[in-house]
Amino acid sequence: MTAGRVDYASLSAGQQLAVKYFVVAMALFLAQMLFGLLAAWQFLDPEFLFGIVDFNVNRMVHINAMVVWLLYGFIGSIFWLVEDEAGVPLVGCKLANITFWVLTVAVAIVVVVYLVVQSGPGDKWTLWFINEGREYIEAPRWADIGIVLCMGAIFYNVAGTFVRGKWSGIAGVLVLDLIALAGLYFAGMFYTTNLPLDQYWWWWVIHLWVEATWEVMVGCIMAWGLMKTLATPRRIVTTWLYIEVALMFGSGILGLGHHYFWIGTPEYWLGVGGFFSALEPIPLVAMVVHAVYDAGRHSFRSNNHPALAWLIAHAFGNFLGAGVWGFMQTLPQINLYTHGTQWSSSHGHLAFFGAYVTIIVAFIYIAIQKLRGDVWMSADLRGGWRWKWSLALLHVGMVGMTIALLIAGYEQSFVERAVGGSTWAAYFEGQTQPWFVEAMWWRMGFGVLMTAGLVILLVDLLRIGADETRTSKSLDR
Amino acid sequence: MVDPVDIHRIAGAALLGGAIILFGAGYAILHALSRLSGSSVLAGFSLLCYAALAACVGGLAVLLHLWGLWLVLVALMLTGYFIAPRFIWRLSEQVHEGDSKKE
Repeated sequence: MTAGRVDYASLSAGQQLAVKYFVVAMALFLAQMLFGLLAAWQFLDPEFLFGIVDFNVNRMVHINAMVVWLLYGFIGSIFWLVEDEAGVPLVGCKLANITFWVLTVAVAIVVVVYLVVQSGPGDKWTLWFINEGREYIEAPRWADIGIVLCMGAIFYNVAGTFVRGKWSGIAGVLVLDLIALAGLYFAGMFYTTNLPLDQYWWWWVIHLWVEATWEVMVGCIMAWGLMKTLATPRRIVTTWLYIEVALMFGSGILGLGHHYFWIGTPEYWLGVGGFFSALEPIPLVAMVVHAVYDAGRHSFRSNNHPALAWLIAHAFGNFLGAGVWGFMQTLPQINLYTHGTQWSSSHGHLAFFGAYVTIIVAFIYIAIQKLRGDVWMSADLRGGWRWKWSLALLHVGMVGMTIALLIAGYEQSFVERAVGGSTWAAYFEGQTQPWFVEAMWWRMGFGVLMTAGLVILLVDLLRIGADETRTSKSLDR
Repeated sequence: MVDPVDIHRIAGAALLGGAIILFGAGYAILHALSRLSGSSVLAGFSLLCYAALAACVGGLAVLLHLWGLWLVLVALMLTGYFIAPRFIWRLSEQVHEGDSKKE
């Protein structure tokens, strides 16, 4: 194996599959960004592409692309680590490859249908074949069933590999989490005639996927990633994984209540949601202590600087996006005015970027290092400006966009909700105020900056290490 | 059950909410650093951060009308943010104890 050369054949079957997932994930990341830019522009010029690619369709593809690419990133990361963790080759390799192609073709068909059939009456046929109609999980029913079946197949691959090989703390948490991941999706697959009841179950998918199963998956990936990039002992990462899962479930599950404030559920949800949402940031704050402890007590060395930088970005992004931006508006007394405005969008953008995008990009850098024959990816890396610039542009763009959306959201909360009383007229009044319009221009500008960062990132992922012949140093402690 | 924030205080309440988390992190970082270095100055600053956090919680309680049962939430935040960093520090020491012995 030559350092710097792409050596796909030297990877294990699981890792080869992971590379495929990462490639699709990055293509969808770009699609997410482009459709986001289109939707952002339509805020400024509502006539733009009206009747060709409507705003609601752009927004739907923007969000769906994000959900799917993050899932692809997680699945890729799991396939990358599973054989290393279990110590045996991937079980059901052929099925895993078929699953990948079925899932990818299904995703492509769903997006094409979204774009081709943008409006029209909804009935059972459209529910099954066009669009299910539920925000964020609009995929038609056939695709829903397909997603669950694919998750079942992936569960078989992962659990089967651990059963044949060796179990570990990471393995146990991961396997249980995959069951929850597939199981929770069922909650978004049936209708009731009672709207609050329908929304009640819908939130199980939206909130519990994101704030329970995805967070746990990130915990597993992070634990394995820390062992590889910083040579952190297994005993420590496993202990912290258990602690993290306990803390997260302790506050995260009933934190679900903050989505139940205004959907017609009983009043006690105001208290339950308020209490647990207030506790949700405490684990994030507490984890800061552990980071300082480790940095101070151990002189960690890293052999993959881009991955480490993105892992650090993950810690800060998660804290700011989920913690600070979340708690600003989570209590019902203020959420009454802010929910569903650009304020929520501001929180959503920073939280998803900080908690999930960062960790997947970090993991892809870990994978690329191996793909290029354990190439040198530390100080004085040739072409190292690319990862630094992409990291900087993506973060400046995201923070700028978050602040712009926060300003727009504040204006909406005030003019549309508090003063206007959430009427239809106030909805439009809120969106024609100068503060809102200017904030949307700033959001557009920072969105372009982010897209530039993403383009550099994609080039870097293709090129990083290509001009190097040095190999990375071992991190054995 | 809920008495919403007065409309001219929405921004203040949101900023106080964000400040609680930031001061919580400040308190946590300074507490951990003070334990690492044994510095009483840092320990003092960490308590100052906590005092600022407590003031923000108080301010938030006033702005959001957190009275009656909601006072339990105020108490819970004050206790939770105070205890959690100390608890995690002790946990860190115990988790890493085996390592130190090996080294």
